[in-house]
Amino acid sequence: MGWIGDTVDSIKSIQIRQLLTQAVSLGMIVTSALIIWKALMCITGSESPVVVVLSGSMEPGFKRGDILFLHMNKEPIRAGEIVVFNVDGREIPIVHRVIKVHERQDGEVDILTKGDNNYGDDRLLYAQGQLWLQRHHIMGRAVGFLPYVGWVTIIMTEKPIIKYILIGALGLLVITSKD
Amino acid sequence: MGQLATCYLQNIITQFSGPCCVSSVAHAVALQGLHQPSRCHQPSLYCSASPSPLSSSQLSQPVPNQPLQHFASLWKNCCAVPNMHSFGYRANALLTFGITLLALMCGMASFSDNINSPSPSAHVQVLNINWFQKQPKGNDEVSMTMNISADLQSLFTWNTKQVFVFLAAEYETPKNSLNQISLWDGIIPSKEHAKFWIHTSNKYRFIDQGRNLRGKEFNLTMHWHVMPKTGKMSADKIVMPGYRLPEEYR
Repeated sequence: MGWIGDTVDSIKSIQIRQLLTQAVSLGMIVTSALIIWKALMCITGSESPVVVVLSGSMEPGFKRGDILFLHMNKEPIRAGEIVVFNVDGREIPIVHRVIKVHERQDGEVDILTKGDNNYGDDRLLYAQGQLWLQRHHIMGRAVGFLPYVGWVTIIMTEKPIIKYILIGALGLLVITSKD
Repeated sequence: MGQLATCYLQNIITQFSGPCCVSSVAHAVALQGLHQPSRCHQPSLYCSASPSPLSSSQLSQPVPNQPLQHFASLWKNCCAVPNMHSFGYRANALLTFGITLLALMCGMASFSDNINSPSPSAHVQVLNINWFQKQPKGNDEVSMTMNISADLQSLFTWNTKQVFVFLAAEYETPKNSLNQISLWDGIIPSKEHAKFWIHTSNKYRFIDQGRNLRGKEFNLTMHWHVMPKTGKMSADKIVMPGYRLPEEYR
């Protein structure tokens, strides 16, 4: 009867090893994604180095679903640059172009933005009574551009079912894959 | 299949480190041996390249059996791994290749913009100061009519989606070290529209932060931002100095 027990043991040990390797490889995927994201944050100096355009206010330059690469440094902000900014009381950051800059001697700066495709400037979007954006509202300036790729994110946030199906399918594949 | 993402990185590394164009058989076999334990196999890339130099060099020798043996060992090393031709591996290889090629093409398109050295020109004439007054809040505001002409055709390359052009008034005041006020802007969608002439009053309000505009000297600067179809955005400007606002409100 000894050989049956040996076989069962060997099978068990193989399954545990397989499970472990699968867990490790899954961990590798997650951590490498995290590493890349954090490294990008360090390099670009922006808290979200890659953003997806959600609205058509910058058309025809940026369409919904395009990806923007942001960069943030100490250099002063100038008119014409495309900046991503946060407005108090608004959750989603906005990507628009700077049309007016008033920079004081001490480096403090007042900025007015406008979407290329909008008729008026952004004062209606700012917080109640806010006339200008200051430096601390700015998250970064757009330096690069990649079309269409952001649709993946948009579809996943708007149709969560697809996201769950995708995650489920991937998880199933990881569990069932033999090698 | 589950390790698509990690394999993608590994595949990129192996692709760029050489096996695409394998020159000697020994090298190829060594590479195959090296890659066997790894979990990412790419049969199409390794196998198609390696046998050809072998058969051409070895067939001329009198012993006919040798190439066959070599081929058999190659086959064993390279393609006889179980699951090699599974759907997952092929999909993985195809995806890796496709994404790498696409990324490379995007990078090249973006890089090709550097070759272009544009020579744009611009000319602006202030025809009339329509009105010039102090706002109730105390800031100076001016309205003017301008003639803007520019030739930006040389900015367009095959990777240019559009050029955003705007004219800004730039000046210094005691309070502010720099004021930039956009007066007019436009989007140029194609090269045919890049040589233009426009007669316009300022599209955005020319309002100072304070009461410094009387007799103020200012620059008119033509800025442009080139938006590529993909890749890096670029910007430049032409500064036209020597404009002056009137001494009195009107």
